[in-house]
Amino acid sequence: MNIYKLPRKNTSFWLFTIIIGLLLYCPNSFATEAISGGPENLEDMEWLSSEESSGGVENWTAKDDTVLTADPLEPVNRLFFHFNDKLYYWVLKPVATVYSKVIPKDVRGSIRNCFDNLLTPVRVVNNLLQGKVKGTGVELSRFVINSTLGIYGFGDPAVEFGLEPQSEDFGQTLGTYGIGRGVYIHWPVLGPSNIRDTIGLVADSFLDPLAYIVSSETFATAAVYGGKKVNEISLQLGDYELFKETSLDPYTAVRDAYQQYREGQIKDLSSKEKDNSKHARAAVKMGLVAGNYMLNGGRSGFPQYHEDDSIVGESAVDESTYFIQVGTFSDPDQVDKVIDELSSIKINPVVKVYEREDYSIFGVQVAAGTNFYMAKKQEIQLAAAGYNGAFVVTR
Amino acid sequence: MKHLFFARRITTFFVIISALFGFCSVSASSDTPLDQMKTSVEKLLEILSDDQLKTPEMQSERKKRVVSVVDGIFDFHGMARSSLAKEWQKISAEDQKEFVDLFSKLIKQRYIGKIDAYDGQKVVFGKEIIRGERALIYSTLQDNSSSYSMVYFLKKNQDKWLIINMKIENVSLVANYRSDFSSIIRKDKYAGLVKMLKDKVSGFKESW
Repeated sequence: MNIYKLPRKNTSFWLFTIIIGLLLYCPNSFATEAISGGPENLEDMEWLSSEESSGGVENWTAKDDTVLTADPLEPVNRLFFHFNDKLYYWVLKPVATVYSKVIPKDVRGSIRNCFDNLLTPVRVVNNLLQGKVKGTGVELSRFVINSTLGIYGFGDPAVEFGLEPQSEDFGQTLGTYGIGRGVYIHWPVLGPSNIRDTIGLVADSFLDPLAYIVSSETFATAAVYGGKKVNEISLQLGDYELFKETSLDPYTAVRDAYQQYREGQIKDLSSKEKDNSKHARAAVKMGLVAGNYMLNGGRSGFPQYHEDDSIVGESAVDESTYFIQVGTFSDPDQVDKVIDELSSIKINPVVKVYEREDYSIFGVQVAAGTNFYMAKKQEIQLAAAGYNGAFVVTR
Repeated sequence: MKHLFFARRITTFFVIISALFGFCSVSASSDTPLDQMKTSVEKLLEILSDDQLKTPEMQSERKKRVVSVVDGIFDFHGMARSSLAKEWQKISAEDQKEFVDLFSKLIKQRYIGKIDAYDGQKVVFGKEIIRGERALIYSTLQDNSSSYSMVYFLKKNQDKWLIINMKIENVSLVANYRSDFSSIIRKDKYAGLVKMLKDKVSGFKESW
């Protein structure tokens, strides 16, 4: 095929290619990582290797005192907490209870999905601001899939593709930039927050399409946001009651839970894997291959392989860019066991040692050449051999 | 709208036990904390799916059996002790015993209170990390289209691994109770805390 016949100036063609590229890249890299568990929190790992403390009292949080002292607005906050409490019991709960009896749970879930889908700009921009290339790609892909296959975002088929929501907001972005949370504020209606997250909330509101759609009429705005809140509450009726019933001072319990929860979000402890530059490199590589494909006039831009799957012209293990992490272990005996197992199926792993303060974690890895696609292929082969947690890493 | 996101995370607190039911395939028990937990979950599932125990007159028996399993998973003594922090050393042995009892009732109310509300949530256990007498178990709770991270903290106690804390979406259960309790102790001393606890526990419609 002649290269000049390619529709190079057709923007929709390129857009389509980019979207397909994102779709192809993201689910693949996600699917195999789900099993590996969450990223390790440094505090948790410190607990794991700490000695028995005096009297067996575990110091679960070192920030106890700072959390306690950072609430100079407590009297006002308590007032608003009380107000929100009454708002819940007198208005929101009765309305949500009736609403939940009229509208089936599935429909309410769909409505929530739709509102979530509308907030994609907030998540995309904040993923970008935090340098999370993968998160940005996942959010864009989610938006495309859910707005089309999911019919205006009412469904969430993107999860089926392994695309989990990448919840990022400007409060978290500021947190990752090292900005402290400031004074705790319990807002009326909005609930727990702090100075940093309030600034974030205001900034994010500029990216909320809902604010633009309805902002011309005060009544319509109130109705839409009220409806959103009622729908949300209808999906978790009874939870607030139980939380309140099982804490002695619900105000303090909510304040503490909010601070801990936000710390976790900023550190990305709940996401399956840290989003970092390796994904950026993989995405660039993907782009290069796609570009290569275009320039080759539709011929494959993929490298040529020998019959034994090694890549022509590049095969030396010590030059590998990609490795497959088979598993991480803290017990050297387990490492030996896995190495023996792998050797028995003619795979020679290398062990990477992650040094922690007073112990080590051993990552068993297999060199996978310099080609991302070959590495992916090997990852699938390893998964088929029973190593479900295997995933591609770079060095 | 942050409140909403937050409220949804709080939700996860209450499905913890349902979460435990979500895991089905269990192999033979061995020494690792994950295996022990899976075995306990299988026992719980057995009790909950037993039709004979679902009749109204068998409710107390059902409850009793569930509690006996749960008592074998959690180290309530250790959790209570940590939640009191420095105050623990200041109170007498009898007071300590009483406090552990009250605290365990509070935890059970929060976590098993929702036992009948189990609604198809799924738990996927991730990796476990063991260092000597301590272990971490990572897991993910999947509820509709949302998923939440859960980390269990376990300690070995005479050949048995017991949960001494858990973090759901990074919110530590014991740390949360610790700040809750310390705000009461600062105002009303330990005596005030115990009084409030007693009032709370006696106010529960059904006690575990």
